[in-house]
Amino acid sequence: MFIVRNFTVEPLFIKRDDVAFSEYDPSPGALPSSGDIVVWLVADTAAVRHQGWSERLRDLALAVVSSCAGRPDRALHMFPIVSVHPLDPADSSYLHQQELTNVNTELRAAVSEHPNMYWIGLESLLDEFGARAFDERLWYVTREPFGARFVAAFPAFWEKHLAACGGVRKKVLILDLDNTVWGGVLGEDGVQGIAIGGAYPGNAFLDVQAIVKTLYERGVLLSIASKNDEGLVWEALEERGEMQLKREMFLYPQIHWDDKPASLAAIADSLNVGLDSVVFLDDSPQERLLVEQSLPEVAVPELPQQPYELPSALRAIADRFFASYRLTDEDRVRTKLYKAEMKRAASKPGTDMRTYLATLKTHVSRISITANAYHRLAQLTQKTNQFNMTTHRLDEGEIGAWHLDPQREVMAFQVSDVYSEQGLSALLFAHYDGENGHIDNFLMSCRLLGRQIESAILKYALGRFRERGCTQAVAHCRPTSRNSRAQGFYAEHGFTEEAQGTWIRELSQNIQFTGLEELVSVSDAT
Amino acid sequence: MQRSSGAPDTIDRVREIVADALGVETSAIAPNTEAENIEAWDSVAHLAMMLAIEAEFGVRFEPEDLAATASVDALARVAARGPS
Repeated sequence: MFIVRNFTVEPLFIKRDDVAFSEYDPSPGALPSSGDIVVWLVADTAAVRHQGWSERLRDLALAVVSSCAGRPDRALHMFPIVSVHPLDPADSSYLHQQELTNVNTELRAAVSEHPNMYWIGLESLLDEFGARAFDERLWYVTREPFGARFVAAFPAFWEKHLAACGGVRKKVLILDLDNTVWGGVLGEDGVQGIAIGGAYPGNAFLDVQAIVKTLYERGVLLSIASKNDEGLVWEALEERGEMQLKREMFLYPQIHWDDKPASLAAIADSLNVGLDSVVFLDDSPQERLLVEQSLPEVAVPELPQQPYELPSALRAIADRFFASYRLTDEDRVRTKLYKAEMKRAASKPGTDMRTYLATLKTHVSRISITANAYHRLAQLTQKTNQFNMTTHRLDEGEIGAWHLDPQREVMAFQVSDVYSEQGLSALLFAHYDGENGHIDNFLMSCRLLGRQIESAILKYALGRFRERGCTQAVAHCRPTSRNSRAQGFYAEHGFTEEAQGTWIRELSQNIQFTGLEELVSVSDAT
Repeated sequence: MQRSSGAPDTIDRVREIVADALGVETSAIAPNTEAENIEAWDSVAHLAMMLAIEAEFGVRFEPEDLAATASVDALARVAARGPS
């Protein structure tokens, strides 16, 4: 990682031994040819004495952006340009400050156009420290502008940023209701008696709901585990106009008097996600403890006792568990996809698989891959667990390298049926080695399991191997604690285990498995 | 509680901070270790040590302290001043 900087930034990255630094007067021509890049520039009173100071900083940052554009193998992390102490000491019009804000807006927009670039939300950390973020003594003496406590807090902030860039995050937020998303106890205070909106504490709970709603809009799946009367809950959500949360936002809600660990397990099971993808919010320390003890994989953050402390606690939780720097279209409609799945499950006939598949009219289409899609592909390798043959996670750069290598191939598939369009849902990584076509990994969103889609894709891939002149398929598999349902897959499809984790199958003229897979159509990239 | 530079908790913590900034094991850093004997102990490493000591002990290094704290002992003496 190479840091383009114009100040003493080293103490902020002292814990990392994989960083190198530019000169204090950096030149975009002096970038290393590979590896990730960080840009962090500051503006100070000395800089603004020169005409065109903001353009110079902007042009430097933009030059780095263009040198990293179209390079999926390297990430660019851009900090906002920071003013190290008041830029306008003798001028109350704040013109310099405004100029800097405009430059930052422009840089942020430039970064957002590239899938390999990330804008760093430094404001949240600066706000936390306020005026104490900076230390003029250190700035004048060492050209390091930040105060000691800010520097101490920075590594955790940076790690969190990098983790969010990797796309690893939780998927599901399960909510308690009483005194968590509204004030009071619905069963006692009644629909009109609970606090939501209006004066304190309703205003605090309104903000809590708004934060949860934002998460929903960003693709987090919501559900409910509440000891309540279900009818009354839906009535409250409908009747009280201030509610930001609506019934249709929740999947598989568990509203009854049974214990919460059972509810959480049922929700995770219905959604086909692991418990380690779940975050549970409950104001009651007893309920939290019970869940922590019985389901240690579930993340159970502490919540403060006072309603006025809840919104900031929620923001911190959103940051910690659900931060993601780039949304895919699929993130935005994820709950709708699951709703379609609920309907599909309801229409699923008990025994006659053939009729069921014929009714669904599932169609799998291979999609052509562009550099813009690398991020989505990487995200899919990161978040798919159950049907993932090796759980080998790839980042955008690795996806790009695989895609561009003529001896290797990434096959990406989207799936649609009469109920919905699923978007990008399955990936197959292959490489070719003479007569052998290797399936290095095969993964699919687990909500699609049980509809012959995985078999149809395998059949397509084996056909593709034959086209390329292969006579044998070699599939690779690596058991993990979470992909147990993938382990029998190759055996069920006519492969024999040649060595631990290596399965082979001759490529015959006609590849057929159970025959059911023929009810799923597969089309090539257009 | 008044800290003195000899307090084992202060000196040991400063040794850890110095080792951290230099990327070496704490056992390689003694109370009498000096900057001029260690190549990695440059001005940037020294700044990192000062910042870590300030954050942890609530003390403040003044510009004069910069040149005068080029050893573990000297750093620990500033740490032992206690919050200003």
